Amino acid sequence: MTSTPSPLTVAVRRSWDASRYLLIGIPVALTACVGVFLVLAVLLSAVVVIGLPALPEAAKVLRRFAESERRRAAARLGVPFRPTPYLPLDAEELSDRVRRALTDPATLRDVFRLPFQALAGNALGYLTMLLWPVGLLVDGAALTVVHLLDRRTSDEYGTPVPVRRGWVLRWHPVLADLSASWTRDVLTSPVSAVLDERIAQLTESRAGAVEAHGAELRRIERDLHDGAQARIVALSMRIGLAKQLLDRDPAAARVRLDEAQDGAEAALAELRHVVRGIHPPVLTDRGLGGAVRALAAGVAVPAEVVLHGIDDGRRLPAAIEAAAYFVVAEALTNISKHSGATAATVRIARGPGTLRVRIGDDGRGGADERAGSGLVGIRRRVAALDGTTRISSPAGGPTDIEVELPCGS
Amino acid sequence: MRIVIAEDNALLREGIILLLTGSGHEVVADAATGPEILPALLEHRPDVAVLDVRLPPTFRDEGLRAALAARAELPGLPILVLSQYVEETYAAELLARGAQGIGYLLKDRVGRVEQFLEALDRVAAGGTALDPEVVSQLLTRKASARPLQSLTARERQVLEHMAQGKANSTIAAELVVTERAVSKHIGSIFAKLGLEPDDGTVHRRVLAVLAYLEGRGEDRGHR
Repeated sequence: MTSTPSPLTVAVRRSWDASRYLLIGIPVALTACVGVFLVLAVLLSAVVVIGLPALPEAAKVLRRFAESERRRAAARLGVPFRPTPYLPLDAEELSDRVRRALTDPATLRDVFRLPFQALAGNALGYLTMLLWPVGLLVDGAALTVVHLLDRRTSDEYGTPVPVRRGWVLRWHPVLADLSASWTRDVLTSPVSAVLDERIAQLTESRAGAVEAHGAELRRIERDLHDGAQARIVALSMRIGLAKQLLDRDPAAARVRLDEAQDGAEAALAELRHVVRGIHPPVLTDRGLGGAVRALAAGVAVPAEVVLHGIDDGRRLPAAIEAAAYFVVAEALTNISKHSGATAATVRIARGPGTLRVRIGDDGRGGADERAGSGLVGIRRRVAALDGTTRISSPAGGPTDIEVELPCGS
Repeated sequence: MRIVIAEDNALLREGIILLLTGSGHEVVADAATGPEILPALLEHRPDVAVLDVRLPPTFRDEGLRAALAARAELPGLPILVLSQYVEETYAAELLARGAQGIGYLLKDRVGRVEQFLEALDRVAAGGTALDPEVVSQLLTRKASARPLQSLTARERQVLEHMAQGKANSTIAAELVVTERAVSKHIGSIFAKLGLEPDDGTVHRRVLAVLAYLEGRGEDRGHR
């Protein structure tokens, strides 16, 4: 009988859980307050252009802040929230990043919530504090009296007596749940909005894919036109000249033929280069695993290759294999050219619906995407397949590149 | 010489047969698919086999696989592998059990008839013929290594030719220098790279140079 906690203990424990949520709301509200001014400052400086690069960065910080609030509210309510469909902010062009930061509905929702959060968070926090002394006095007295008068946990018919909840302290959980539900309602996207935004994301990445595909075709066309095709025309001309010279001046004809042979070899080398750029033959021969091992064997820095779920029996789509190969090749080239690393690791893992490629080294880091390293090419090729790229390369190292490509089942 | 060839492209196959018979060789069998190769080799025991890498039925690397299988069945059988592109890994696989009687060349090289026939002779005689492109892939990778940078331009040229498996006399003729000068350069290269002095066996020194360039010791094998 005595093992049941007294109603006061139960009420205090509940209030304490709720109060923690509400009290943390105070520093969060203060942060939101600072956030309001920061958003204004960034917007103002963006108007006079200088602050433009800061805009997408500020949006990222804001998203992280909102995301942590969502996590806190979800923990309070005990139900997971729908993932927020943010538009990615890692586009290569600044103008694209700024445009997305300004038009992304999910980010805008985060912004509009900031002032309310600043006010409501503070108000609720102080109300919480105020409720405690009052609650302890009133409920403490009342519940103790009730408890002393009636210790039964069930009435005479065996029906359990509901635990009495106090009159003041019961408001803490109510306030906390209200606040958390409000966070859920305002900060998370309604289902239709989630779909709309996913559609917007897909439209964007599909447009990117079409654009990248077009650019790729134009590049191949240009390579063939300016390279192999031009060389073969010159070759044919040299053979024609040699035929003319054959009777009159055999020695000169021989020179033309020598040049023609050089030209033919150069054209072949050119074609090999183009073919390698479209779909490396070693991929066809050896699959992604074998091809990446061959790549790793071909760099000066010792590179370890770790494969998961990559086997020859279940080949990936050719475009995904080619992109993964390209990413590894670019990353390894960067590593051996710029990083000063003494070791590198390539990890490729096939999960349900995704292929994850990760290349790390122990070099000096500081890889700059704007400095024309292969990183831009990696991003572009991955984005074209609706994949994501994450590059971390702090000065002093190490560099870590992680790419995720969607690949069906 | 009696030669077995494997090449699926009829145009190229006829071309190679024409070229070989025209220079006094005999093509005893020609295969157009991977599985035909080994039986043909076992039946005819040729002086040298010329194999394309990519062949039916899978159009992957069955020529290379057939070459490795043939070397296991008929140790010492000279094999010249031809390919539309060269991959350093394939060279390593071919050379894993010794460089004697192994050739690995781009198909482009067939056009330089004299050099191609010379490489074929070299392979048939137990030597080595590696495509300049394989060698340059290896050299590019090691480009920043200090000992390589300490080589003179001429020594570098000699190194490239040496890694392709050429004999001193051939190198001398191609670089238009005396054989004495070539062996002097080779001595100096071996000293700078810290390799055991050259004993004059061409295939052994190819392996030594490749092992150095690959930076993995002599026994590389399959990985």
